[in-house]
Amino acid sequence: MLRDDRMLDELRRAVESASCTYADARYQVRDLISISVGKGVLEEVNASQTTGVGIRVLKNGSWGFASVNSTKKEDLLQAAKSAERIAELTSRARKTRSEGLAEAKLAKGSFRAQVRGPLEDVTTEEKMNTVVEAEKRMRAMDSRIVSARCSYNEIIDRKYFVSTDGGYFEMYDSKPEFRTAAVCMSGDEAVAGIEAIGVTGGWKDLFSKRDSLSTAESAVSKAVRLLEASHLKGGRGTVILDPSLVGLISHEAIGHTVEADFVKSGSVASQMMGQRVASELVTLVDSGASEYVSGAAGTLPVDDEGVLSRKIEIIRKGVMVGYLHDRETAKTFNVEPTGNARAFSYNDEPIIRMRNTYIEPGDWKMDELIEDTKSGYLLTGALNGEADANAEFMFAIQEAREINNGVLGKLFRGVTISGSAFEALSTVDAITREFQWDMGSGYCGKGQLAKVDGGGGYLRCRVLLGGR
Amino acid sequence: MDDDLLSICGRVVKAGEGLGAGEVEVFVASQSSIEASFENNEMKMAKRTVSSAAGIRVFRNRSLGFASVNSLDPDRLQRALKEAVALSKNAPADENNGLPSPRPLRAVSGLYDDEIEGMGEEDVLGRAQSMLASASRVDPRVAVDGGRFEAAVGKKAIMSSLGVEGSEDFSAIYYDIGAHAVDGGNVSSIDYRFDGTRVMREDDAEGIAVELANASIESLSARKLESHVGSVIFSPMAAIEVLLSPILFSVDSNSVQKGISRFRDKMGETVAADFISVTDDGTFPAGLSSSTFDREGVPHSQLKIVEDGKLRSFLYDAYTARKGHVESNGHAAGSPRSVPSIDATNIFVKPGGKPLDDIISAVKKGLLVQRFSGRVDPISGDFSGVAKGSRSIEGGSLQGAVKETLISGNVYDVLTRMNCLSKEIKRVMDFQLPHFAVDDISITGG
Repeated sequence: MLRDDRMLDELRRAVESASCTYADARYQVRDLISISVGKGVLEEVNASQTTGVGIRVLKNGSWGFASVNSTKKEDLLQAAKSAERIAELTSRARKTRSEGLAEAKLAKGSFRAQVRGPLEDVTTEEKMNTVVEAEKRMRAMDSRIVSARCSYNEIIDRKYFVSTDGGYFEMYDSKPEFRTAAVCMSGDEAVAGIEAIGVTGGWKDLFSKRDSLSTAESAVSKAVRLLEASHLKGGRGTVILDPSLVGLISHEAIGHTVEADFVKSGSVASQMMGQRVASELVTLVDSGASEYVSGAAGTLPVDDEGVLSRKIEIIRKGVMVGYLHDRETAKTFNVEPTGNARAFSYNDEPIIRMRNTYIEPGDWKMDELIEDTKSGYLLTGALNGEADANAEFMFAIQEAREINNGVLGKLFRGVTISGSAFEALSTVDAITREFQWDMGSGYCGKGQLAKVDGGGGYLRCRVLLGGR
Repeated sequence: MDDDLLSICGRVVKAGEGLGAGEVEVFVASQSSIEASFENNEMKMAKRTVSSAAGIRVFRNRSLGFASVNSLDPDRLQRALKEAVALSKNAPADENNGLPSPRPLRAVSGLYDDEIEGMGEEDVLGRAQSMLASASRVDPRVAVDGGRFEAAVGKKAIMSSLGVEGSEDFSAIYYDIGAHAVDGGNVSSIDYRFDGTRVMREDDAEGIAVELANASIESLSARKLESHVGSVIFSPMAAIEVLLSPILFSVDSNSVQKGISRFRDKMGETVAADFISVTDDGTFPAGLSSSTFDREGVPHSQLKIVEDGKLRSFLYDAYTARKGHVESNGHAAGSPRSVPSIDATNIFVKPGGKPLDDIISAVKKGLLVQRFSGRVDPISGDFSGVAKGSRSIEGGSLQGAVKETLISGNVYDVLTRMNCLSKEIKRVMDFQLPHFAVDDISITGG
């Protein structure tokens, strides 16, 4: 049952006013709360609301897009007209024409994120206290903590969508995040411990695995532990990647290369369809659903072209089998759209983005995996990363624990891993059964932001390690 | 129109005082932009965005409340104001909270260009098309992944209950381009360039497109390098990432007051080689980060950050200035959508005396690093990452491109033992800086 038929009617009137091949309109109301405390100081408390309509028109084989921060009837009609005119102008500038949009299973109805403890039911005061107390706990825990920082963010989106070919939906989405960072100093050297979580869900979902204070304590323990850690000498080696790193490699190093817009421009994956690109233990997936464990931050039932989300295998048992599409690239590649067209804000046009990207779990137990490792490192906690169209990646890691004859040993910090992701995944010889999402506190950037998640089991492979 | 923005601010400030908000500040902006993008060697689309935003900050009994809205509609502004006041009632008090007092503003030139205002969708599409054509013309193996050209004009205004008042018109163009090269199954690393300016006469969109296309072709023949300790020359783009960003972190008064700045107790002391001078100038004519006033209505100035290797100043906003018992030097930054944060404005690094070619000739074995992709920890100064689009140097001459090559070291150490800076400088957005050359850097091959 739709709650705001009136809004959908306004949008429908606007898109139908354009003389074109296709048009869609998206009205988005975004309520955002950000609270941030650093070293006892409330640095930010921000309640912000963003509303507006984005209208997209396909005409003469080209796209036009216009947005307005208003819902007035005349403004919507004006925006539709502007988008139509821009499509005409763009068409004159192009050598080629869009082949149009692939048929898709279009949404017709209402969608609501699964939420335990709606964020609207928790007062801003309680949210503020949670952040203030967590930050205070961090500083109180250990005298070596010179700086602590804690923040909470929530995005609550209400979206209304209409397309000229019959798709329409109304959606409620709720994505909170909680981050803690503790910094220790040893002389001139600073060492940070970071713990962060982001989910699709409510207040209870955000803290279902660990409450705010335990999260803060864990960041402090990590910083203190790392203070005693040494630096690694670089070289190629065997490593066990934790779910955050498995998510990062799946998303950043592989996922982007299989986004059909990048494939079209000749990403390394454009030559790989049907080929063996990884160990046969590797099945790599992008899904709008939160597989295995609920609450993944990239969860999305329907995309911003009104296409119902599908679970897409990118690599099946080591062989590349799928790319990620919007309706336009799906038409070009003659496949069914995958539900990967996403727009962050009302004034962003939908582009191909990932959702929850992961590697299917294996059948190893974690302790067996460590016991089985003669010499290597257990790497935990992704710090940041970047990767290229050729799948060459570089990730910074919080903690590296040496493994010697199946026993965990010395701790190292400041470690990076790099190499070709496909080469690294070709060396995978073990994946654990236990599965986690662990990338949900961050955002993916591709000209515009997107909430995504990533994860998997613990995975053993060989990479190039960098130290100091 | 400026008067309109100021009168909108005035009404909110007055309403805020009526609600017992204590100190009230309203920062508003309205903007109109046209952007044309290209993707996969073809024009993609254009878009027009008309937007406005207001940020309302209140301090009630030294407690912060802030709300923002993407509209100048009176009802929504009123709702945001109430939200900000409500938040301030629950927020902890802080003795250093409060708005700055008004100070006289001086006009800054080159903030607005009528030519940018006059650009329509066709003009912007034309500029983007020309970037794409310039890159494609270099070599058929160049694959342009994407890019854009954007022209924006707008107005902003600020007013506070303490009497701060300012408004200005602004214009800007921004452009970026990403590409790689493909030769059969040989795919190069993806690379990109970006820049922007306030005035059309400094538009160099085609220039960066050609530079990128040439770099992409060069990196097709990339080879792995043996690990060694050698000289590294950082391009202006790599220097911003590896060297300047940690300096700017360390002169941010927030980092200083939190005790996480390496420069926290180094005022007046040597922090870099004696030929390194870094200046921040928010009044530079037509600078991308130039403005008559900062995010709190405080005027910008020309500020020496590092002079002949010695630390000269930190960057303050009203909060950290009060905490540090000094005056704000106009470094509150940010949009109306969030509370002010501290940031640098336009950054200038004084060039050296040697041409880049001479610097390269003097290198026995090393690397010319175009772009850096990796981690720079501004606290410890440790950096470790991949040298992207980079070329090796042997026996004083530039060799081919390298791949999977890591460089690592410590920024604060590198700054003090810097070898030299190039005579040539380059603008990258709001930075103008030379190449930086240093010896004895750990270079790890793949």
